[in-house]
Amino acid sequence: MRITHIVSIVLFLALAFWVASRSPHVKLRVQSAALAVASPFIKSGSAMEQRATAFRNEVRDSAELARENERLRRELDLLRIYSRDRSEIYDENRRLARALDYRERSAFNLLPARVIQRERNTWWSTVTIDRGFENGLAVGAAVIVPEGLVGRVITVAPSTSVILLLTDSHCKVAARTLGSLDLRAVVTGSRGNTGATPFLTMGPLPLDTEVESGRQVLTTGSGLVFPPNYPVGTIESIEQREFYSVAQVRPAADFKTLDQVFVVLSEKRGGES
Amino acid sequence: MRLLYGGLLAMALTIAFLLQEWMPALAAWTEALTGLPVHDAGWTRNARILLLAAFFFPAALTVSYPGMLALAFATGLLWDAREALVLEDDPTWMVQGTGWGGTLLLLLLLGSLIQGVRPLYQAGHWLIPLALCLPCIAILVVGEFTWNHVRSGSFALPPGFWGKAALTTFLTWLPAPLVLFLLTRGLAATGCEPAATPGFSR
Repeated sequence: MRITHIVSIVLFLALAFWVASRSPHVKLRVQSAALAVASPFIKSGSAMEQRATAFRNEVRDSAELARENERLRRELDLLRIYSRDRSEIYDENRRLARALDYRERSAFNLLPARVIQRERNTWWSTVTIDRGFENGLAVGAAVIVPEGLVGRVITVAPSTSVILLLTDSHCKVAARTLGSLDLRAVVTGSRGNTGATPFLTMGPLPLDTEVESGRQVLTTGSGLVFPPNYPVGTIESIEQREFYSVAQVRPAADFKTLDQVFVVLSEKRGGES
Repeated sequence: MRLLYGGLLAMALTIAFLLQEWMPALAAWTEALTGLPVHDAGWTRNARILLLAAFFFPAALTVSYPGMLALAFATGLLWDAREALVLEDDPTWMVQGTGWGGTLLLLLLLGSLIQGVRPLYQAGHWLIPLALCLPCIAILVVGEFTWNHVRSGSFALPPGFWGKAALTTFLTWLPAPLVLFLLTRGLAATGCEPAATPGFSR
């Protein structure tokens, strides 16, 4: 082995150690800078994905119209197209109105955001949203949808942020069950981001705990990130282990179709809502 | 000339990084283009092309050992800047972060392995070097999981782990021949044509 190779390896290892020993704060700043550089490309990719979806829908609709033209008159087809278009606009309008109404009704100051990148990491459950610190976001902010808890902000760039989803094993939330039997434990996601249907686990619970499936799981509110009783999911089943029990929890939020989310900026003062 | 090729590599690495950010996951593309509910089927397991890895291993064949180390350091930094899970301590959420540095060591080891077949590449034999890129990518993908999850708990692998690792590895390896071809053209264009090593015939 040449001397230059040995010197190169020593230099490499020294630099690698220096990088690895930086504080989490410094690493987060580096990640924030990298996210800021990548943001225009993430947004561009997301826009192209949306255009591809729109194009595919157009192609599919055209094929359907062609089949209909074999059986129906042209005027009737046009009427159906117009009717369908109105229906889509009506549905979208109703969905946005519902989201807006939710934003107004909520006890928090909420910032609506759109998911622009899914499954960014191979082994972590993260998504990227189109809001950043220019919009008032900070690391640690909770992210929710009307149905329930989604996750938390872990990296913030000027106009984009990365959310660690509740379905990841690194995201843990103190929770309790709703009802007369008040069970308290930690809810966490699964390891590896590999399943099509992400389930959460709630544990450890007392040995031989029996809870009927369908019981709601809520946040405890400890730590003041959330007020108590925000939906996390529902109990699916109980698994008895040697010294404790663990509950499988179906998340309240639909993570497969996550599109519009709300970032909790801060809790509203009394009477503000 | 080497400086010129180094600049070319730096530019190509930046492009690979930005292109990787631009490309959505396989499932998102498949759903957008075909309408098939592949997320529900789960067969894609959220796999995506890791262009940084697809670039690094072929590029490591085209440079000297110190050059490979410089490339490994730059690639590892970019990788960890976007792939590592860094979490500030927060007792409210009871979350744990994962470390940096594992990728750098992995790239050092795997890059050294790739350098072992560099004479074959220099002699014009691409098959074995390109084939070796496949297990190297697999080790990087599995190593990333192992490095971060073993530190935080048990050795248990999640269901679907090997399927996702295999699909991600294969997808990532697919562009490698094209990358190697383009880099070889880059070598020639910058006047850094790899010299044939004695003992190997072109």
